Amino acid sequence: MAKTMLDRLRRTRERVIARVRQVNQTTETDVLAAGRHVQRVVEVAHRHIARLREVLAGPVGNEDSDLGRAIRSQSEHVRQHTSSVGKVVAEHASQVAAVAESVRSITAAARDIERLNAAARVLSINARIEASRSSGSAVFSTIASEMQQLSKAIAGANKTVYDLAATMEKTVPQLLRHSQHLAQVVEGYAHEARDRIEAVDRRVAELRSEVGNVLADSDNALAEVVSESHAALSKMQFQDVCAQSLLQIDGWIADVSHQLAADFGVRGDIPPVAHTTVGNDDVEVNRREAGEVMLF
Amino acid sequence: MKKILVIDDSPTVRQQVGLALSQAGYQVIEAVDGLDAIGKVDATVAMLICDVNMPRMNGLEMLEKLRTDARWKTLPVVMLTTEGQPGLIERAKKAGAKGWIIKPFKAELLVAAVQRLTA
Repeated sequence: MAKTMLDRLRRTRERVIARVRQVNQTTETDVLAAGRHVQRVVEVAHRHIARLREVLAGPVGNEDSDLGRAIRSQSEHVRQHTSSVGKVVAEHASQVAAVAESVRSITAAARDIERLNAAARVLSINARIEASRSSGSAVFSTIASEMQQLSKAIAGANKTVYDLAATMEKTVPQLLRHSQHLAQVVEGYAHEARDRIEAVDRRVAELRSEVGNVLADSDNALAEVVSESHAALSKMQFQDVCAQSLLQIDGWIADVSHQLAADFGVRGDIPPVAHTTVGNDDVEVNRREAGEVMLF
Repeated sequence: MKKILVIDDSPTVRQQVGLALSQAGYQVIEAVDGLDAIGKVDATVAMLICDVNMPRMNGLEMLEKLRTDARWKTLPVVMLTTEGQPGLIERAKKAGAKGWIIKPFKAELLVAAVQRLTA
């Protein structure tokens, strides 16, 4: 009777062990495949985010990128260029204004010369009168003649100066207007260039900010993928935990078999447990607490 | 990259611990039991994560043997097992284990423990 029971228990254990091994093999294969899938998902996410970082952070997101440096260099070049052109135009306008002032001085000087020449003509007339009074004095007559010629020469030269000054007085204001117009055009261009540079700078800053946000989102997404992967890895341990529990049942049946054999004083064929354990106590683990780390 | 030796007779547990740690930036090498682990531990290994119930040499025997070698006196070892018997935990503690984790482990907590013990 006891021997029959022991045989039945042995056959039960054999069936349990065979079933455990069969199920264990199948689920183990599936769990390992699932683990590889999890790893693949994480690797794909890592690779895509690394590529995204490389593409985005490279040209725009990074201040030291080629594009970033090119934009800064071009902006600085335009700033310096418009500034130096503006200075040159302003200097030119100032010089033209100085020329206009000089032309006015020349006209004033020509008027002074004309007044002096008029006085010389009066002196020439006086010399001629004195010559007629002193019965054709050769001296007065010569002085009157020389002064008359000198006065004519001065009048001729002064007319040339007048004409030149008049021409310049007409031309210089035009030049001044052109210069002022040029200065306005340059200033307008400089303003426009500054506005455009500022717009480019703003857009680059916006892009850099957007890139930063995208990369931060990507990092969060990756952290989420890793966290989900950890959750999946934690849950995939069901196979090992179930296998351990089933093998524990084999251990308990083996214990019962040994007790039966001892109680009835028979020697049965009791195979060793399929999975030896260090402890023999049946301590039920609170699975809700499982996974907690006890550090010593 | 720090190297962690994972010792477990279950290939699924080795894989799951390996994936969790490799995602956290660790290099993982594996051993199938205590005897295999004794042959694989070297100066490049920063920490051991070890099952208790294994064929040939169980985790506690491996830990006690490891501590007899002066080179591995302070090498951090954490036991990862389905066992929760206080006597076994105490034995591991006396043998110089740095921690005990009952399966099924939570990957993020395992990684945090490894980070703390290898810092």
